[in-house]
Amino acid sequence: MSYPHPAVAAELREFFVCARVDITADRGAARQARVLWTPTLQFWSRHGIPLRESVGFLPPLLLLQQLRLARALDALRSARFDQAQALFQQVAETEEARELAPEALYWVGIAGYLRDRDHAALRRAWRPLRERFPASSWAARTEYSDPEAGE
Amino acid sequence: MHRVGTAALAPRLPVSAGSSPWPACYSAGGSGAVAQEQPWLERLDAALAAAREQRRVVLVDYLKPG
Repeated sequence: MSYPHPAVAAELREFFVCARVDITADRGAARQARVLWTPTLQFWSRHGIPLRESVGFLPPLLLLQQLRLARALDALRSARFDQAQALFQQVAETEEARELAPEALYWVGIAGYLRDRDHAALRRAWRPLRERFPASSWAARTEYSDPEAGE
Repeated sequence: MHRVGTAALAPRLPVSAGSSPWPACYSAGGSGAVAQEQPWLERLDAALAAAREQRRVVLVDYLKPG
């Protein structure tokens, strides 16, 4: 079980409201939520905006980083760009969640861009993503031509 | 996922982020009286209402016990 892990429990206590749905007792809920497999974790902003979904068991340290990614996406949705960037950066630098690092680095750039509207800065912010994870699908997302930058 | 959040439905259940990571919506006895007795959408709305009050993120865990 990942929830009793002290760091996970502390994160949940401090930043989340949690609800559990037993899909064997509430099949209607599973249908409405389009649950294919359990466990499925869905993250929502307090305004009812879906932030993220994770399917399958997560060991504690990976769950912890998923929680932080959800908080970061929530901060981004709420225009708290500095907080979002810091959280994404934290995930990107966590060795135990290396598979989440490319996504986190991608969003570091997006958070900065949404704050500053600076294409050149966005390109610079994405450089670590392209250098550290060149084969990742997140690096591929940065390879578009930017008409405003004349690339 | 689809967007929800009809404030009118929110019944103000005792959903809160208290001392347990899994609060009143599920914690009691492992199966959770509130979780089992309230319709899903009402539970979700209650969680959203609590999250708005406390400026938190909502996590919904769909699971099979055991």
